[in-house]
Amino acid sequence: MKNKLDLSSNKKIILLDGSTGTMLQKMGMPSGGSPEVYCLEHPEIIRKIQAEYLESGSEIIYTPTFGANRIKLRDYGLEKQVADINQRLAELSLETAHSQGRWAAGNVGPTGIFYQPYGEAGWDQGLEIFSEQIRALDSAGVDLIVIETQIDIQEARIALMAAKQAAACPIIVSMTFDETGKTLTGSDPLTCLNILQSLGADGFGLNCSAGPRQMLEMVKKINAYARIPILIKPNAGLPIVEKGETRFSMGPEEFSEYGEAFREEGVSLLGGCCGTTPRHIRDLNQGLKDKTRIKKLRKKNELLLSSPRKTVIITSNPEKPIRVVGERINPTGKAELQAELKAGKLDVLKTYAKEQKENGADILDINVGMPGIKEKDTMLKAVSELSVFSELPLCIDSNQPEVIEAAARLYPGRILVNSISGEAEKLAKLLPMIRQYGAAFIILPLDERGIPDDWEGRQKVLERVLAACEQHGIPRENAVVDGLALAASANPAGPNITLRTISYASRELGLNTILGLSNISFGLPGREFLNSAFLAMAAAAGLSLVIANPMEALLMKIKHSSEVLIGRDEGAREFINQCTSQGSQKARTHRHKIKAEVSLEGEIYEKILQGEKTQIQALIQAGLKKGLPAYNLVQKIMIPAIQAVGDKYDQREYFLPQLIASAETMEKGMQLLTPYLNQENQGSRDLGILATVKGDVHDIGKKIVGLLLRNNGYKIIDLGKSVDENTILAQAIEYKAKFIALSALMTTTMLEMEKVVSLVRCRGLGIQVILGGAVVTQQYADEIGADGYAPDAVKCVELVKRLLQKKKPGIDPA
Amino acid sequence: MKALTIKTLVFSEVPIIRVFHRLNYRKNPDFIKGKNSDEGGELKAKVWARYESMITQMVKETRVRTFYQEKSIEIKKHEVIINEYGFTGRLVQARCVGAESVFILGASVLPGDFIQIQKLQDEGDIEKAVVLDAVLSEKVEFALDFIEKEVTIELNRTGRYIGRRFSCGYGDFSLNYQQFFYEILEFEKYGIKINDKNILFPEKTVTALLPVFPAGESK
Repeated sequence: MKNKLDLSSNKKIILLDGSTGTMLQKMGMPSGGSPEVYCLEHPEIIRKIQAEYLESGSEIIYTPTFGANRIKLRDYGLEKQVADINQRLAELSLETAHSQGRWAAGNVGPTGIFYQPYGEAGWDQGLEIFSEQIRALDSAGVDLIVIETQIDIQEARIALMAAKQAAACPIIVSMTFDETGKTLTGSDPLTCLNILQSLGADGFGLNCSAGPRQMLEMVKKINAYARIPILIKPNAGLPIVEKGETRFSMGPEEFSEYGEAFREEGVSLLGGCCGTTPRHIRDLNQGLKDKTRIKKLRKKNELLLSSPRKTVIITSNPEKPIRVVGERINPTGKAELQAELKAGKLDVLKTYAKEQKENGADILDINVGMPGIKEKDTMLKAVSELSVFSELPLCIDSNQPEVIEAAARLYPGRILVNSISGEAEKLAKLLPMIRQYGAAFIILPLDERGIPDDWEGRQKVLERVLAACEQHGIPRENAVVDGLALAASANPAGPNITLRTISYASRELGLNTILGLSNISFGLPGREFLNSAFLAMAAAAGLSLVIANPMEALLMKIKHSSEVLIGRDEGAREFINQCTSQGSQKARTHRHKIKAEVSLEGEIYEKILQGEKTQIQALIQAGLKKGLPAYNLVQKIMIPAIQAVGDKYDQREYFLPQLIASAETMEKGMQLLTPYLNQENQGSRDLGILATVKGDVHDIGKKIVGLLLRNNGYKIIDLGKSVDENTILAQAIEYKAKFIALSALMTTTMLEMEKVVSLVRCRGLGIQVILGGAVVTQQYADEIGADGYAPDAVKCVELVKRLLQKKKPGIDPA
Repeated sequence: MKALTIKTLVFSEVPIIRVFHRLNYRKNPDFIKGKNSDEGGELKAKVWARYESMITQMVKETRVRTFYQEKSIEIKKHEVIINEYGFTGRLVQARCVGAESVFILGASVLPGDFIQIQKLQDEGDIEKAVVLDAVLSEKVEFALDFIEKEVTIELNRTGRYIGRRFSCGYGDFSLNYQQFFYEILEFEKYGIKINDKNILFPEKTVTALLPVFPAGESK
């Protein structure tokens, strides 16, 4: 047997195996069954395949246990045999590998279900599923665990945590990225690397879905951030279906040409996935003349925080800007947010998240602590919501260690903990949790005795906390030191101590630093000036992060200005961008719009244009009170407004939901005005019948058409969906309709339209029949003799207007 | 052959951009470009602000049921036979020639969630109904993408690979074949209905065939 596998200190590239599936099929495995069962029933076949890989140069072979979890085995009625199947299959591979002095990796695949917050399955349920399989592999004695072909970062996190609990050997997690460079659930390689390596993976990999060329590009983007070995198992190029067989575009020779490029990019473990064979591995082995592993230079003093879809790099190095932690999601002093959180709602919280992002926040601080709510439940709800709603990483701000722990577990990213201090009791609770979830954390230089009065006192607290981190095996680069700003009004020496703390942590300890700005100006007028000035000074002292309100325009401008002056904005690009963009004029907010002075008529027009339904009736009432005739309101204000909406829709400036919102606003106004119009003898004009034809159940598009026609003054009778031709005709005659508008969404139901047209023609009626719906075309309308076709609701209104201008020959049902 | 697998998926990872696309926003390249590049722009901010929260909530609160099963396939000169059903047409021939089996895939929004579209219309909130309609359409498509990925991973480890999936109504693959999917995937048991025009209810139900090919040698 070979020595114990030590991934990090291994000086050579380790060759892995290629595809097992390709080989199993070649050797006669029938389709549709369980490969695990087939390998158990035919041990000689898997032995032969693995022996071929070893002969080709593979130093690690994978156990054929990819789908041997209880969810996958349930398809074959084998969910109760997870331990037995994994153990037996692992023993087969171990025997083959160890007999030749090589290693066997316990292979763990995905379960095919979604976990919270993306799905229904819980964290503990996932842990149980993966632990059961990994425990069996570990007890069989595998040399490492490879969790591979993962498409969802949350499932990968759970599998890794399970492996860490169930296995003593090294653990590698390998994700699969599609041609856009993302997992199916939208995570990029750097984000996955950061989350998994901080969670304690011993190696990070990319396998399947892409060929070596695509994978090489992905590796180049992540290798400078990898603290752990990188594993690569590309497909043999991209698959092509040719003469009834899937062929991979890359033969062994071409595949092997990438070996050296991967080595140069610092890859440590190299093998093949779909379409690769022992020949690919042999050529790869022979092509790699020098297998010495190249260690890539890792970027120093950089801390990465990740949401599931984005990674933010934090550093005091000159090339990166100061990152802004948006502070507004905190109920203190915010009655609106307090009321919402008490009511169990998160709308205001989400608005704060959105506004802060749009105004320059890079990270969101989440604090939901307040009396009258269960903080843990509210925090979990907020984290669940924000992990989907916002792509900014989260900073979890709570005094309660159990709240922080619950959030760290649920969040499919890497959080920043706000905060820990030198208080021994809190350190004992928080440090193990920080280590377990790989969180980054803010250190406050204070302890049980409070904030030290002088610089030396702060330095001692810091050193004590950092020593405790080391004892818990937490890398010190995960720490962010808080400069701890105190009110300048009460502590004249305070600002200098804060700046010295930042400078010391940044320049002497090489750590990132953070500052909650607003304390500095407490008790003084003109706080924004003091805050902004202090930010500029802290920036010069080496600040990495600021906790602030990004809606404060002055503060943000000073931040951008400082970055130019201390060389953290190359070519002053961001500064110029900020100074020239519209966004610099004022903070963007969705809730407090500055109203220009407009007339009542102008306001009605604007409400329809903007699709703002809530006030339209009140405004129209006000117009009527003012003595404006209903007819004038409709003809001179509302119809021009809805026509402007139609124009915007035509020009692709407005889109479907906006069109509908405006139409609904108009409709609400019309409901109020109709009785007045009747009094003024200005009731609506022509009547039309709308119907979805027999057999078809789609009618939302038709509803939009009806809405817009009513907006434009037509009376509309909507017969609903699946209406037969006789009913349509009878209703058209009864209501003396001028036109019939028919809708169909399927090719099978479209044919019903012809029946309606024929009936109208047979009776010699002068009713216009017009068509619409996804599958209908002008050509089809012409073929069946309809009077017109409209591709959308706006065009339908134009069509009706045009058609009704000229009287159609035939009997007028009116 | 893989027996019928049925799963109820609750997931909230449908990229919002896909829903915006479905709502015709794709027709304004500046909008999409602005969004993707994280740049500002009044249109982006206004439209995004109005609908993002609505879409996110809808994605989170709705559920999709997925169905899939593998069946063997026989290719004849003028017909493709799957489970004793004969399929004709150029598309099915072209996509399945050489396939050794097919996966029959389906995804459907749970009826209770689908009914909300009608409810919103009845309440007069067509704007929201249209957005929910788009969300559910994207959700079933995403669910189909997900099970295709899952099936792909499963197949790859047995040395088999997938072709391109296709559905009734594509090219000359007739909508009448919907009946086949309805029966094979046992839709009836799950409250899904089909009418005499082969329209499935809930309408947010999608089905597809995914041909499976053996591996050849890499070039």
